[in-house]
Amino acid sequence: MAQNHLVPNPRPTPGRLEPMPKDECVRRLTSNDIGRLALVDGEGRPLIFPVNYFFDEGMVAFRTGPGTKLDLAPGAPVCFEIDGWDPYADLGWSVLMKGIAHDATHPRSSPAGKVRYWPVRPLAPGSREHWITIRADEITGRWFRKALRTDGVGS
Amino acid sequence: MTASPGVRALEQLSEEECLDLLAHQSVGRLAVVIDGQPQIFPVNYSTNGRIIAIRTGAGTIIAHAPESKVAFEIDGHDTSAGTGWSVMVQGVARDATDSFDDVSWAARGASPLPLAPGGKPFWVAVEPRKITGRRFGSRS
Repeated sequence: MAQNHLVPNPRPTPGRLEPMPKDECVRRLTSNDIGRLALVDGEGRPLIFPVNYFFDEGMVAFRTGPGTKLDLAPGAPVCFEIDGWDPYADLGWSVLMKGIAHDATHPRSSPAGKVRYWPVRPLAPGSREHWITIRADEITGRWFRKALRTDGVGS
Repeated sequence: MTASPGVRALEQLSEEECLDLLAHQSVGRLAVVIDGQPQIFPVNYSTNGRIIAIRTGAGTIIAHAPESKVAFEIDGHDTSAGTGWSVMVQGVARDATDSFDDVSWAARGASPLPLAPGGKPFWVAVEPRKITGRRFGSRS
């Protein structure tokens, strides 16, 4: 986008919660590797799990073993989230991705099957032989910087 | 194979450990289901006993969370040390802005400090029905 040549490092206005530009959302999805997955169980209850992931081509991939995520995610609408606080910029941010999860474990589930070559590195121990992908139907982000103080207190 | 057996074992946390972790953090994520679609909102929170208190503005949380099944999650990790933990609370949310029931009263006794700008006149309380947590790697 032409505007990015004029504003190479866009930042939210201090004191305002603003939508994050789409390319910044994608940049942050690409540069992080831990996020949280929200699912809904059979009783309509939401669940949240932290996962190690890899993002590319509009798709999140993570690995899992037998259990709740594998039982509930494939074929279901899910939400994936990352967030953070950049202390040097006083900047808080979050990126939300919604989409349908897909079990990409078996080769015939291509094109998503290629994700099995992606560098997803689970931190938690245990066998994680299943690959789940989420193709983004919607990516949104929000960010804010703390308001500049005008009362001379703090910094 | 690691030379330190057991260091990377996955361990279930007791409810007491989970509540202790909840008492010492300030950022968590609230999940709400809207028309079958789960949504996650990062929030600043505070606890009073078992009750989780969140302040929010006029928006999706106050429109959809009260009287709904919700999940609340916190986690932490140290990639270089290979350690991590997470706590998930499942329960029902309540609009605690001006109710006088015990849960709302307890929520308003907590001190959540929202970092995000904007007026946050509404209070939301989560009363846990189930609290689970996991930890892996060694604690240093």
